[in-house]
Amino acid sequence: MASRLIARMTHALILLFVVSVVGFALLRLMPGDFAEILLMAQMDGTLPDASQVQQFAASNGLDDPLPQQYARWLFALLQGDLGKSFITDEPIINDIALRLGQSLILAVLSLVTALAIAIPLGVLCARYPGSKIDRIAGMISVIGMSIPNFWYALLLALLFSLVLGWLPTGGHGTWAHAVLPTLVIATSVAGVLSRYVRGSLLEELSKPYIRTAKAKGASRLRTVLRHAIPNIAPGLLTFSGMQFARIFDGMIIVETLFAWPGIGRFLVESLLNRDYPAIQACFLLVAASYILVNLAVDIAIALYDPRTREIV
Amino acid sequence: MIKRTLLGVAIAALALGTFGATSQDAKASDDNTLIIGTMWESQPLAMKPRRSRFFNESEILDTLVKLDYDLKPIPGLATSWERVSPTVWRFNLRENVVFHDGTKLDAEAVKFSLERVVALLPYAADLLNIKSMTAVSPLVLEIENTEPYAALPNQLTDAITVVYAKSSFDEAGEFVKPVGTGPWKFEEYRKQDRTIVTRFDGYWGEKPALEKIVYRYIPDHNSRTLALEAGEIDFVTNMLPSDVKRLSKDADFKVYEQPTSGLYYGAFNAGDKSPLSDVRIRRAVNALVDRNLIVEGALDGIGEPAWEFFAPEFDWAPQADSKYSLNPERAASLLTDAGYEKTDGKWTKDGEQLTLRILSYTSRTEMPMITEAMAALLNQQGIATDVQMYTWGGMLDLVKRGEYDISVVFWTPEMTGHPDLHLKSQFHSKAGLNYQFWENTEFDAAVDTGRTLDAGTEKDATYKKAMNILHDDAPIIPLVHKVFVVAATKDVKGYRIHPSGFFFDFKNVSK
Repeated sequence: MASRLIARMTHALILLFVVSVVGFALLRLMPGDFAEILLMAQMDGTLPDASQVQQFAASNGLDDPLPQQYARWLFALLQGDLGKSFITDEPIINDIALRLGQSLILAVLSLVTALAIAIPLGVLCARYPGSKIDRIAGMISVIGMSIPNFWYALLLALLFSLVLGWLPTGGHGTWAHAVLPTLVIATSVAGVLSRYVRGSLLEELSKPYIRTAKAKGASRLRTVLRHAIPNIAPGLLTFSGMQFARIFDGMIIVETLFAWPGIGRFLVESLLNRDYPAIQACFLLVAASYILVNLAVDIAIALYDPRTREIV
Repeated sequence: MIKRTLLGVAIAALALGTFGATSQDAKASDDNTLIIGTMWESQPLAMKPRRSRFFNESEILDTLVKLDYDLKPIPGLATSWERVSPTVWRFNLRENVVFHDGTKLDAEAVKFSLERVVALLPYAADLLNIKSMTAVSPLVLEIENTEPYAALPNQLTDAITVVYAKSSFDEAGEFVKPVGTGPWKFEEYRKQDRTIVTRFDGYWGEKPALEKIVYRYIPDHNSRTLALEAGEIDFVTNMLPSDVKRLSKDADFKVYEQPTSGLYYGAFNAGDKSPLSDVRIRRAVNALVDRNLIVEGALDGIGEPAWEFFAPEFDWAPQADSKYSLNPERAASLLTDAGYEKTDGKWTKDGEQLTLRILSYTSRTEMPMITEAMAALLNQQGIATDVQMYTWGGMLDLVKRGEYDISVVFWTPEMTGHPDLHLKSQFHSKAGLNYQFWENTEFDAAVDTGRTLDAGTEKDATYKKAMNILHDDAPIIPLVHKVFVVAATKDVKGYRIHPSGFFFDFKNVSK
């Protein structure tokens, strides 16, 4: 198992390296003289002249060959130096430190909330397939999946902040601030998750061992909770891991709407600013989180289900 | 089971670690504190991001010369100024001015500050044109320019020239934090959240009524207005046109609207790669676009139709002898002269329809709406358009290569109260910013002379000539003059919009 785990981690590392190279090359090869764009951003939108641009490019190493620029960046990165933002002149690690924590909070809260909604809903639907409950739940799931976050988020803010006055419209720092962003992301993910739970549970319930359990006199509740659910758990875990991409997607919009300083908004801001060091840091961070979450899910499944240990 | 409990504890600890520390005031109920919702983050711990705009706009720091509500220069940290020779200006500084750190303001301090600014921000060097500075006496500073420079007092109203105390910089001369002479002193910055300033009791001018101002960063346009309506903030900037309409009808809020410096315009490519190299077509386009419809249709009426370069509200600004007007007949005869004929409602030449590639950028709220409206109006008149939206940088790349016909942009040409700022830097054939391939030697000569001339008939005549050339040779199509909009709760008293568009002036505000 240990050797397989090491192989798995090596794959993850290679993947990280490839992602960083691709991200780096992609940004450097975009159209536009970015030495000038960066200098202009510092000068509030006014265009600098050619000699200033040259000087700026030279002093920031933007004239060097691309592999050299990449190597310099990677070397610094491995020492924990993410560089300074071209826009704010601040070390990027300051932003990452604030935003990674905030995004993590939002992601974990959203996933837990989503599972708390999805599992009971999915169980209910699988228990009474084709019933009114199942159809209504199915409809709600589809609505949850397809409703645009930016619109839905504003509706929630209107209701809870303006009409009822219970929650702040945006910002961060207290639990009250986290409620609305969590709710928006969780509901958009819960739809997909509940459909998954329903589907896999239906399949599981049709298997012979369930019939055996019933024959032994186990109650319906017991067959679902003690027999079926533990068997769909590894699949659900994997699927939930995959939903991190969707959660991140949701965060990009939700973080802007609720002024939540997370990674999603940082990425968008960096892109609009063409803040290259920041964009690269975001790219690497997002890719790393995704790869690491999937690795963690695989390891968790291996620990949970002895049968899968060999394939990890 | 133990594993599960441990996991739970770990998550809880992580959560509390991030949250536990702060608990904030949700409501803006304190009478001595004003809370502003802003679209940009203020970033007070860096000079570069907003080119010192925040320091000037929030009055943490002062400039030597300020602008009144008619954009006329008035005393700031300098009480008077005079030209002692064509290239030398003498500034008499205000007495008994202290910085927030308790040090005194004198000529040496101003010299030090301007030197730091020029060293750290390249744009300032171009703007100020300084050859040398001399502290003649503790309260007299002389600035020598590289050429006769009548425009200097106006250039010294630009936010970039604010005067910093020595303690704003570290020993290496790098910027640390804003320490100035203004009515508000910098108190606290919470990243991605807010900047707090408090009243400075040693301020040289009239003392503000409020004790504290909080600039809250709320990036989303909808949420920002919602925060005002929910009572979390007192004052909001950069609203959506639809919110402006709604709040105007609500008795709990007051909407402030006023024209300020700022022009949205289409810059024509006058080079070989564009049909707009023909002045007749440039003039025709100017006669085909109804600016009233752009303002009504794209901006819900928030803006002033622009038929000229400088907004007519500013009586100091030079104007050409005539303005553009909607005149399809004149446009038709110009296009016919240029070899086009109208068939099936389309202007064609050699079987091909006149087509204009229009570029703009989406990062400024109103830009896509204005650009699309202009394109639609041209289509209606038989000119085809190909509208492409980029980031500012992406657009500029194409513009510099001449791969465009019209680029729609926004600048604030009236901001310093002097015509030089924009005319010289954008339209002079030698200007680094002139990517329009437009060259007019008479225009160049006029703006080169204009900045050296003192106020008077010669200066007026020189700039009038420049404006007439700009009008006749038509390198641009002016579209909309900016109208600045903010909203506040009805309790906020004494606020006035400053026409530079970059100055809040909360000294007289109370609530």
